[in-house]
Amino acid sequence: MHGPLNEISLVEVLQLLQRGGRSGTLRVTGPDPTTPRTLWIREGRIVALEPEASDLALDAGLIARSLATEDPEVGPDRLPAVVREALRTRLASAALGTMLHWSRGRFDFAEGAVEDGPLDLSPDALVFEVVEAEMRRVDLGAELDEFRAVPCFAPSEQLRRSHPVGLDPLDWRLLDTVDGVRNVASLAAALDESLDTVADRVRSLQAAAILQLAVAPPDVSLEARAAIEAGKYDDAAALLRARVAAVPGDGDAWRMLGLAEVGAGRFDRAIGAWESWRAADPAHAEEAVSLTRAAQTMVEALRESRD
Amino acid sequence: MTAPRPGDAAVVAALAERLAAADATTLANLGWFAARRGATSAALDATRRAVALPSAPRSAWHNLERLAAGRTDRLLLALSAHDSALAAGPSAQHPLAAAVASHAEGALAVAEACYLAAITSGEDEVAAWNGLAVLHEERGERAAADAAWARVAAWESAAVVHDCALAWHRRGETARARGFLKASLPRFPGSAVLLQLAGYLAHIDGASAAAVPLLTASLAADGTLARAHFTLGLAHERLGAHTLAVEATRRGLQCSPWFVPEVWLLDNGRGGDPIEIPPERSAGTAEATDEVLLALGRSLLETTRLGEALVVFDQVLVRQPSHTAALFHRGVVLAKLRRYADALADWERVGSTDSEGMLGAMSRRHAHSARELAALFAVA
Repeated sequence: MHGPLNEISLVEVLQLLQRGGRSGTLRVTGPDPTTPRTLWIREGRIVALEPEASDLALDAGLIARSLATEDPEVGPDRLPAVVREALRTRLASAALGTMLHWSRGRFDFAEGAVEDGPLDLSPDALVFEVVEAEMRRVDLGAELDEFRAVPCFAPSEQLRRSHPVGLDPLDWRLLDTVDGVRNVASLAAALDESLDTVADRVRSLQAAAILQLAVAPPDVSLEARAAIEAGKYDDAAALLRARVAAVPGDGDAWRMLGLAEVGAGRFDRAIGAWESWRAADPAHAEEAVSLTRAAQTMVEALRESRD
Repeated sequence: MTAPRPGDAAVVAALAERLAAADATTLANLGWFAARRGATSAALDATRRAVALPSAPRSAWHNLERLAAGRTDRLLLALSAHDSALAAGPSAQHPLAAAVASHAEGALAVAEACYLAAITSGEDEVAAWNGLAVLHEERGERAAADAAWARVAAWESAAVVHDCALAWHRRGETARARGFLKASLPRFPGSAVLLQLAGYLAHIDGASAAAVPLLTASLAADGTLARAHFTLGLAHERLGAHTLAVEATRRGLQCSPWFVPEVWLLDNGRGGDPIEIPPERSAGTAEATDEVLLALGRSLLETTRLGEALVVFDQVLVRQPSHTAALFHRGVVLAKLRRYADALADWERVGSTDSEGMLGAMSRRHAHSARELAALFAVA
């Protein structure tokens, strides 16, 4: 069984395999064809996933979370199985959560005997989990200014005088990452944890009077988009130029700056912006190149019409 | 490790105050956090307090070992008490191991806290008291050391007897140490480390003849004990048995490039041989090794193995270019090899650096002869 993901989604594939109680290996290639994933399915349930939930990835995850080190005395295999496998399941769920959204790529299922593996995930439960996480994310996003709120430590007096509190390793890692500059979304990315989990912890630590939330800085991209839609291209371009000067790696700002420049009729500047977009965001290089070519065509057409 | 950020110290201090009465897991993780924020002293304090509590997680001991050694990388977060118990198992909490590791790193304050924790927990009490006694000896706290020795004196432990004897010797009471060892040896027949120490003390007490059978017996029990080979080489050299001296020293060099004549023996409670901690650390080791190499060179010279002797003296001079004894003896070797100009250069350096000493006077005499010989051979 095989096919493209834009015709039959991974959710449907997994549900079909579950309903039929099938066993075999499912190879899934997403938008990046160089990193295919392999799922081992036993009687419709996911029992292994590589590379995200492999032993190697699990050990690296435990070390990255400061629960183990490379030192054999305190190495990953010294942790109890319950801790190791809980993280493996989290890594697998996070990877599958992303894969379920893929609309580009393909799948190939090869039927065959599969032994028990370290995972035991039901596709139905997984889909339900993903939907639940999405709902939680929407609620938390509303509370945390779409995750743009910036956590910082409460004043010392407040920290000192509040009641004692129980903190788990993720809380400590989160506190370690808080710098008063990065927003919730950036902290989640830095911790390599799901957005809803980190946002939930931020709320708990805020309730415990350890963290407080700074007002999110204005969203330049929203303002710029509104200006473009209103035909105020120069205003949008000014906002976006200031943004890319402050954060040169903001690919989306470069992309929108190109659009604003095109709107204002400055194709040469648009080409420059999109070239910067391609450099800042290689994942969208193809799109950036197409837009750049289009702008170059416009420049040439204008030149010819002038001549 | 990240550099301290503005306000970090205040955050760490405030959290430490808030969590002062927290459980061992929370304190251990506070230590981790403080270390990550560059507040090393607060990290050490929180971790020490964590390990002093019952059911301290394994990560706390691990972190304490690293923090005591001045390391803030590769620290661990503690799991919840339940997970920690599962992870650690019954043998994972080792205050004694942390104590010995800290002791070896020279973090004596941390080591002391850990030894006391080990004593309180009842884990390997004798080894903990022994370590504590050694620690007090190193600090020169004689009364405290004596009190600790008194607690372990009756225990059947070769390491305790060894360390106690070494302590007397280091206090300048070598005869008392030798007497104590002599009385104790029948209780530990075949203990290589006790026999070696007895032989070593005999040798430095001027009784090299008595040292030889003790050291030979030590090596019969453990042929890999480098310091016994080296000490035997020194004893033979002093007794004029140069061939035997060369043989013994070479065997020692096969076991180790360094001669560490005195070591404390500390049991860390994890099985295996005791951890050896030299009281003098590296400087004393280099000095003792040079002494062995000089003895080896002299024996090679006496047995007319001049090429090898030259290499050995060169080895000392690489580390200490103006080592007068090495320069003097290399000059002798060079003269015997008829390299008079080179010999003259070595002796002139000795004469100028040790003008008042015996070697200086001898060097000046030798230099005079070498000059004449050099002139004679130059004409020829």
